[in-house]
Amino acid sequence: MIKTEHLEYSYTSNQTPIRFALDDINLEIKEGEFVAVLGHNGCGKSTLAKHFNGLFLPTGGNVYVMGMDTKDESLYWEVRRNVGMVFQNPDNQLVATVVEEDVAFAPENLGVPSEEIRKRVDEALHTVGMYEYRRHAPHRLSGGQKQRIAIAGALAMRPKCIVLDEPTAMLDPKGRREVLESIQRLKEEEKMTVVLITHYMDEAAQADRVIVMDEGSVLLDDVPKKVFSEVKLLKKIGLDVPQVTELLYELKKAGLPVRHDILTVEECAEELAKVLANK
Amino acid sequence: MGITIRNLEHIYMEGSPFETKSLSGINLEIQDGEFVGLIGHTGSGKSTLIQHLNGLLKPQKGEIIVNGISTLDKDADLKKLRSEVGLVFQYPEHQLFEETVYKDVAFGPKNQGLSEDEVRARVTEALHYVGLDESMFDKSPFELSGGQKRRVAIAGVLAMRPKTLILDEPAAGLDPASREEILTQIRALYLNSKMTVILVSHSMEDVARIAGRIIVMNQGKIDMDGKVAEVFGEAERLRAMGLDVPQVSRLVKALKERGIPIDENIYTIEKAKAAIMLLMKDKREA
Repeated sequence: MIKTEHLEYSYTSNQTPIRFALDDINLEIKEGEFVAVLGHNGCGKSTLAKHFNGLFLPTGGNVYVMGMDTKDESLYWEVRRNVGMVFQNPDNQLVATVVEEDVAFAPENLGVPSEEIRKRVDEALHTVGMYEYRRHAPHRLSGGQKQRIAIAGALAMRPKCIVLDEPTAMLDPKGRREVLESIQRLKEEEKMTVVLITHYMDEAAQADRVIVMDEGSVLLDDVPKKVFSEVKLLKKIGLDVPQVTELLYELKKAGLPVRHDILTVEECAEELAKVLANK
Repeated sequence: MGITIRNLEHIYMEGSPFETKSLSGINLEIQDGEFVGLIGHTGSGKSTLIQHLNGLLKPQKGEIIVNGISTLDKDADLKKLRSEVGLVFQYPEHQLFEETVYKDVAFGPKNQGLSEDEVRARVTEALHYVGLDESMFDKSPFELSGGQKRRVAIAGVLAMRPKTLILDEPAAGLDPASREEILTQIRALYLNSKMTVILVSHSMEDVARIAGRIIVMNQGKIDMDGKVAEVFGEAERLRAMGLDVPQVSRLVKALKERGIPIDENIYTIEKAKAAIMLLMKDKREA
């Protein structure tokens, strides 16, 4: 779906020496995968995401979206139509005064026939669970609802892949749950490829695969259980692990015979109950 | 002297079709030196409430007395009140505007008409509180990292030497390490000064770790108000309000359901670890 080969991106300016924001990134994201990207502020994860739909172009190496080289100018629009982006602040992404008009914005610009637009808008709103709000004004909705409208707006382009850059950073717990449920549905029902950039470890734990970035490079790339069992390494680069994983890691360090490749409360309770019963 | 709120009510856009009751029947007493976590879903009235605390909003009904000053009083010295109650808004780094870090932090005390020396002393103190030293003073605030910018903005409020510090989501949008850093500094600041701190947050983990008391707002009313353990003991009620409890609280509940005698009042990793180690020790001895 998306492939990077020796991807490099550097900022150049007159005053400072070249700084590599991305350094030799080789990744392949498969169709239908749900990938979470973690890393501290400034590690290059947003820069990477912006390469996935050609918003940024590599200064070295290549990015291919469904086999299309993002550097090929004649393919710009084709690349962007296939990879939808959703950003952190929903207020900066909504343009219209009525929800359904907002969702229709992209297909209208693509010159899609109006009957088809109607269909796409309704489908997209159903997918994010916001169909009942189609005639509402976006600015009167909650943060989670607005963000789901932004997702619907991206979906209405019928992309093959959707990239979300910290979509829940500004939301309350309920808003976060709503957005995550929508993302799960994209994966399960629409079989979409999803790339989720986040600071929340519990969100990353729900992905099929977690990529950890540090200083412009890929540090870890594996299933969540494996990645989060690297508690020490993650803490060292300023990241966190889910609370239960950290607790089990601490207990293990203190000499208890527990596994710590565990991400959920239920699994953790099972593990602890087992250990406490055994003694 | 603290903060006293009686029967506070606030109606947003009264008389228009958008009229919404954003606060109703708020009665609250906050003592000097408390560390209060204020939580609630988006639109629950948290921001409206804190804007009342330094007189940015005046009570439409009811009254608020902060350090002996009633904001409704015609002769109330609101300038004094605002220097005593420091309010750090969400994403405060958006409000940075000066050429250098020093000038930005000095803006408040300078406007208070303090002497050059006094201003310098306060700026230095405030920046030290947030962990930024002299080497940063002449930098442009715009060349700093996100976490640093935010700390400069917080220092701008601290330089006013407020008695009460209100922070609206100070860690939102930061990565875990910067989050940790800013919260540790707020905690240290609280312990070293005699400030009252009110922390508005969506992160239950953060509130659990640093606040002593939690106030939960829901639909413009105070729904719960108590010690951290008491509030997080009511997971179902919090979830129904669109909130959550820390993962550790959920774990403790799951362990209890499995018949493990663990103290319900546990909501941090450190306490959970200690409790489980103790249980293991008891088992070994038995």
